Amino acid sequence: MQDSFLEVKNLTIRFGGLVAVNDVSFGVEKGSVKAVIGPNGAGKTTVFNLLSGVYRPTSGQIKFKGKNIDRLAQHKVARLGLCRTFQNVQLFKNMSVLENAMVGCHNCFKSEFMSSIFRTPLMRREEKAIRDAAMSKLETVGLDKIADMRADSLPFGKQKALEIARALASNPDLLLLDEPAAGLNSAETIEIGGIIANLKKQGITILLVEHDMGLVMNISDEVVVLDYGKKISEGTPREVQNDPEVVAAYLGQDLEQNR
Amino acid sequence: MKKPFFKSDYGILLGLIVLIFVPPILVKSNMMNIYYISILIFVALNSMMAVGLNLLACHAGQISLGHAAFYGIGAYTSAILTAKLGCPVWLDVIAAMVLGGVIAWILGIPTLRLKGHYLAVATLGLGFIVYIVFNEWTGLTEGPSGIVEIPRLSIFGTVIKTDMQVYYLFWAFTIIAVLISINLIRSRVGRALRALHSSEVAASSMGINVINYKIKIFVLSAMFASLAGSLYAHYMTFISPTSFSLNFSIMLVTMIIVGGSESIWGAILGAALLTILKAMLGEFLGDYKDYDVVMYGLILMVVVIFLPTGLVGGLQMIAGKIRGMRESDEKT
Repeated sequence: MQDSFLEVKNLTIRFGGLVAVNDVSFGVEKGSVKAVIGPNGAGKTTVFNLLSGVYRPTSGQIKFKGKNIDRLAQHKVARLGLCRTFQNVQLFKNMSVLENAMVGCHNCFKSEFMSSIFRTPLMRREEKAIRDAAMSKLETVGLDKIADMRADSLPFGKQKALEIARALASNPDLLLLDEPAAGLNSAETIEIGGIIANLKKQGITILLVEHDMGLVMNISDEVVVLDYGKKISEGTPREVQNDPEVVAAYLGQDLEQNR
Repeated sequence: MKKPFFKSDYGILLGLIVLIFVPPILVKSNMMNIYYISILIFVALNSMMAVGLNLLACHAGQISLGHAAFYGIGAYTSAILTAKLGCPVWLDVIAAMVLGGVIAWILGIPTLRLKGHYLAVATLGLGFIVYIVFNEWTGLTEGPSGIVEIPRLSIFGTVIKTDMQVYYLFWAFTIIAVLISINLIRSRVGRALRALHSSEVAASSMGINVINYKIKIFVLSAMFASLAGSLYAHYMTFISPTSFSLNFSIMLVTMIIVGGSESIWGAILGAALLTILKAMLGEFLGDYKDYDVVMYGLILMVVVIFLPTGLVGGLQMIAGKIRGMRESDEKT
C-alpha cells in the first residue's frame, strides 16, 4: 500500500437519509497543495469536518501519517499535527489578535492548572515562548502591527489571515483551509494567495476548499472535485478543468444526453 | 503598549489589599461601628464564591445555578467532622474542599460532555437534592434545627475568636483565591477557557481538550465555594439548612451579573454591593425582610436591561466617554 501523508479511503457519512459524503477516496502527498472543489452543497466542508474529527464517518477510513484518525476526538487529531481554519470565521472574538494566535500555540506547550496557579518559573518561561511564537506567526501573515486589537474589530480579510496564523501557530504538518478567500475582495484574495504560496514554500502540506477558481488553479498541485457527496474527478488543475464531468457539474449540463 | 502596573490585575489586587486595612482603622478611631466588620466578613466569603463562579461563568461560559449546594457541602462537612466526630480543625477545611471538588467532578463528567447549558440544570437539581438532604437526613445533619457548637478556627494555638481576627483571616483566604484566579486567567489555561467559551469547535481544533477544561474549572469553582462554606461554619459555630437554599444560589449569580462579566473585579464588586444591601435591607425592612428578594429581582432586571456588561462594564464605558470628551476638548 502506498504511504500517502493523508489517505482517505471510501469515506462516507450519512445524516439520516442524506448521504453527505459518499465513498470518497483521495490522498495528499507531503509538501503538496491539494484543493477540494465542487458546487455548493457538494460536501466539501463535511469532508473537512470528518478529517478534523468534528464528525465521525459512517464508514471508511482516514489515515494521517500512518495512523487511523477517523474515530479520534477533535483535540487529539489536532495534537497529531492536523490543523484547520473555518469557512464561517471562528475566531475567539473576545480576545486580542495576539491572544488568538497564542491559543493556536496551545498544542506545543504544557503548562496546566497547577503550574498556572502558582506561576512556576517553567510556566513563566513558557508564557514568554508562547508570546514569541505567536508573534512570529502573526508576522508571517502581516498582522504583527495590530496584535493588540480585538479580533472582532478587524476587517474581514484580516480575520481570515488571523485564522490562518492561529492554525499555523500549532506548527501543523497538515493545514486544512476552508474557503480562505470566501467573502474577500480581489486585492485581499491576492494577499491570501500570497500567504498560501509562502506556506507551501516552507514545506507545509495544505488541503484547501475554495470557490475562487483563479486561486485554486494557481496554487494547487492537485485538485479533487466533489459533486453531491461523490468524487467525480481528480488530477492536476489542467486535467480537471478539461474533464467533461466537472464542466457538467458546474454548468449543469445533462450528462446522460451527451453520452 | 504595556499597561501601567496600577491598572493591571495585580495592581488592582494590591489596591484591594490596602483597602482591606481601612475598615479596622475606622473602627479603632470610632468612626465605624464594629458591627459592620461582620458584614465585611460576609463580603469576603461571598467574594470568594463569586470569583469562583465568575471563572466558571464568564471565562468558561458555563453557569451554575446551585453554587449554594457547594457552600452547604463545605459547611456541613466541616460541621459534621468537627462538632460531631471531633476531627481537628483545618483538616476538616481541606476535607470540605476535597469533597466539594469530588462532587463537582462527578456531576461535571456527564453534564459537561454535552454542548449547551446542561450544567445549569444539573446544578439546579443538585441544589435541591443537597437542600433536601440537609433537612431530612436528621441522623447526619440534625435536620432543620441545624448543627451547633462547631469549634472556631485556630492558628498556632490561638483561637480565632473576635470578628476582627476573622475579618483578616477570611480576607487573606479571599485574596489567595483572587490571586489564584488572576494567575489562571493570565495563562495558557485561562486563554484556553476563554477560547472554548467563544467557539468550542475552534478551540478543539487547536488541540484544547474542551470537556476536560470545563470539568476542571467547575471543580475549582466548587472548591472555592466549599472553602467559603467551611469557613462560614467555623465563624458562625452554628449552621442550619436555610443558609444554603436556592435563593442563595440565585443571589450569587445576581452578584456576578450586577458586578459585570469578563472581570473578576466585577464579581467582587457585585458580591460587596449585594451583601451590604442585604444587611441594610434586613435592618430597614424589619418584619418584612423576606421581601428583600423582590429588590434583588428588580436590581437584576435593571442591570440586565440598562447595563448588560454590569457595573464594571458601565464604569468603563463612562470612563471611555469622559476620556473621549477630554480628547475632543483638547483638539478644539
